Parts: sequence; structure tokens; C-alpha cells
Amino acid sequence: MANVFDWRLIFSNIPELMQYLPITLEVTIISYVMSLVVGLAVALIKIHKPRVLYQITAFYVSFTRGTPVLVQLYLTYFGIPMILQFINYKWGTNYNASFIPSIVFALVALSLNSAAYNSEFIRAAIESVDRGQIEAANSIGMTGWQTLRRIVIPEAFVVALPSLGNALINMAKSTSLVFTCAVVDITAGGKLIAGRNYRYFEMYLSLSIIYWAITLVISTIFRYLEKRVKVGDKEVVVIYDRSKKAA
Amino acid sequence: MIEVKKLHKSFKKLQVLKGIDLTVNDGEVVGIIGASGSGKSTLLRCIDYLEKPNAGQIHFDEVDFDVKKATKGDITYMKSHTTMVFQQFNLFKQKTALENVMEGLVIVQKKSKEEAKKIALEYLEKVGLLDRAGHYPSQLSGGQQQRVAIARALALDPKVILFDEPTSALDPEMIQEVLKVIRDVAKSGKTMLIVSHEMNFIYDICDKVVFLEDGKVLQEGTPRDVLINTENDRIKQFVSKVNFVERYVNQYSI
Repeated sequence: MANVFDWRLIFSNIPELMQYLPITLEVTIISYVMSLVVGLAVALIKIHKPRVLYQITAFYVSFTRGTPVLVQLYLTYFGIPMILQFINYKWGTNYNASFIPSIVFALVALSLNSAAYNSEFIRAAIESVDRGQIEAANSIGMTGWQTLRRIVIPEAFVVALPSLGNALINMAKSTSLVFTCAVVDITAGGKLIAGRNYRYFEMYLSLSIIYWAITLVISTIFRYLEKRVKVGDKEVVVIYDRSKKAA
Repeated sequence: MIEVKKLHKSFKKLQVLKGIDLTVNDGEVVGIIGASGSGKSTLLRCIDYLEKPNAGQIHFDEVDFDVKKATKGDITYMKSHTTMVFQQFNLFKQKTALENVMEGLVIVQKKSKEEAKKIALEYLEKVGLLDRAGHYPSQLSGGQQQRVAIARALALDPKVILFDEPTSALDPEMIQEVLKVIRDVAKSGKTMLIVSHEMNFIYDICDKVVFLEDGKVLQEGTPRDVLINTENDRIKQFVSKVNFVERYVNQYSI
């Protein structure tokens, strides 16, 4: 049995895999942040429905949700160089796709994919904010942008927090596909290492442990955040203490 | 100070305001009464520009415009010099009482944080809630929330404060604490418009009462003229149905 399955490898693989962890984390975090920014923009377009822009985003969301992320990674990996070629041909410029770091393709594909999903729960969270809050901000003279930034987003954030956590977990796991774009993350690194001794099964178990650990860390962080933003349970901040002044 | 002429407002096909004329002088406390759906709240909301009126003239201190041709500057002027106190308080849920009052001072009036805090604490003291400064709205009673909302409006020192049924969402015990605060504001010489069903209170603190019916002004005059000496049958009928008893009026003078 020792020849078929070596459980010690599961753990001894992990230190070697760690050298690829920074790439996985980098792709996760950057794509996540971009997906939130784009998701927020798409959510605002969905709410305000400006002409043309609304149709474009509706198409984008429908397309993104209707195609697998793996296919989208291929599309960006092959599509962006094609677009550059076309631009060069059309305007006589001289962009060269081979100078684009391959991680960029992964970042674009993953963030656009996730943004389509995020836009939906961000929209729901923004629409859950009580109209009265917006009117109050309006009445004290705040502009639309100030109201969005100071009142609407902080309140929508509380509602969206569980979904934000889910989105980050999904993103961390989706990064395992970036080898398609020639980015060597932990999954790709694991495959390369396992190629040396053909111990693929042990390697995939090691990878599972690492992804699981990442997920547990993320969900712990979000559970803590959720507790912190629940305003009603917060401890009262004593700014002025009547009894102290009397003394 | 404010002169509104022939103000019209409709929501889709529903005409709510059908040509309102209203004059409010500096330091005046004007009560707006009438049945539900008569357009009282809409009138206030149009003055605060939470709703865009469809037609009419507005003259408010430095601006004088036809609402159909209102410029951005006109609207900003209206918004920044009027502040509303809402029926549902509408305190910012994610901010403490203190932060609620500071918000407009810091973000709109661009005051420094220290200065804003000083002003905010001063106004929270005025409404008797200094010891609740660090509480979130969800940790305050309805009456306390409304008092914070009044402090938030006062702190910005607008030319006019608009009260839109400020006590309608409160239980009877809390109504008094809020009315007392509003009364203090009225005494301080602030120009105010109040929509309320608290007839005794309206009678007591207002310089002028306007009775709206179906989007039009039916009668305006002193509280005595409108509530007691009116010749109008519709107003007589209205007053007889609300809790207005002249001899109780003085009890409300806290």
C-alpha cells in the first residue's frame, strides 16, 4: 500500500507548494477588489438604467453568467492579443501582446466573471437601504455622490457582507484555473511538482488542505466583520458622562 | 422670506398640489393642517426640493425663480437652506447620535471635525440628549431619535426648518418630549413650517395656520381665525373631528 498511497507526502508537499501561494493570493485579492469596483458600477447602472449603458451591462451579465469561467479564461487569453493585433492593423500602432504579463489575462477574466455575479447582490443591498435615509441626506444638503459614499454604501455593506464573504471564497477557489493563462499558482505548481514522481493524488490532497485552510481563514474574518458592523450590538460609546461632570 | 406662488405638483396623473400660494415671513412659525392626502407633506417636500414641483414661482431670500426654469444653483440654494425633520426620523442607522448631527456640518458645510463636534454636542445638549451622544439610533427610543433628528436639522442652522408630522410615529408618552423641543425651537425665533395633527400644539405655537384641502389653500390666518372663528363648514367639520379643545390648549404649554 505504501507504494500506491503515501500519506506523509500530503504534508511534506505543503512547504514546497507555499512558494506558489503568493501568486494565488495576489490573483485572489486583486481580482476580488476589481470585481467589487466593477460590480458596484454595474449595480449602479442596473439601478439607474441609463440608456445604452444599461443594455450593454445587461448583455455582459447575461453572457458572463451563461458561460463557464474556464471558457472565459481562454477567451481573454486568446482574445486580448487578437484585439491588439486588430488595433495594430487598423491604426498602425505597434502594441505587442507578448509584453503583457500573463497574470493580467487571469485578472481580467476572473474579475469580470465575478463582477457579473457581484453586481446582482450589490444591487439588492443598495436597494435595501431605506429611502428615508437618502432623503434625510438629501435634505441636509448632501450631493448624490456624498450620499452614496457616506450613507448608502456603509448601510448596503452591512447587508452585503455575507455575500461579499462568499464572493471572496469563490474567487480564491476560481484562481485554481489560472494555469489556462500560463499563470503558475499553487494548483499549477502542484501539478508541476507532482510530475516529478507521479504522486498526483497526494498532491491534490495537499492542495485541498491549503484551499480549505484559505477558506476557513476567510470565513472566520467575515464572521468577525459581521459581528463588528452590527450596530445594535455595539457597545455604547460614552462621549459625555453626566455622573462624571457632577463629581 | 419664502413666497410660493401657484405651486403645482403631480405624481404621474395624480394632481397633488393645484396652485398653492404661501408666504412665510422671517421668524414665523407656520402650521399646515388638513386631511390626509390634502398635499401637506408634498408642499413641504417641494420646498425642500425632495420633490420637483411641476409649475409655480418660488422666492426664497436670494433666489427667485420659475420652477420650470430652476437652475442647479436655485435648487442647491433651496436644499442647503431648508432642512426637514421627518415623520420616521430617518437618522443614519450606521452612525451614532453625535455622528448624525456632525455629518452635515462636516460633509456639507466643510467644518473641521473638532468644530463640528463642538457644535453637535451643543445642539444635543439643547435637545437634552448629551448623555446619548454615543448611542446608535437602534439604541434610542422613538422620541429620542426624533430629538436627535431635530438637533441634526438645527445644527446646520438652516433658514427654515420643515417639520413633516414629527410626532405621528410616536407613542403618546414620547410626543410631549418632542413637542417641548419643537416649542423651544419656535421660541428661539427660527422660521418653521410644521405639518402636524396635534391641533392644540399647532394652535399654541403657530403664528399662522394654513388649511389645505385637495391641493389648495382653503383658509389661512391666525390660529384663532382658522381653528375657532372659521366660517368655513369644511374646516369646522375637520376641527370638530380632531382632538382640538380650546380649553386644553394651555395644558400643552409646558
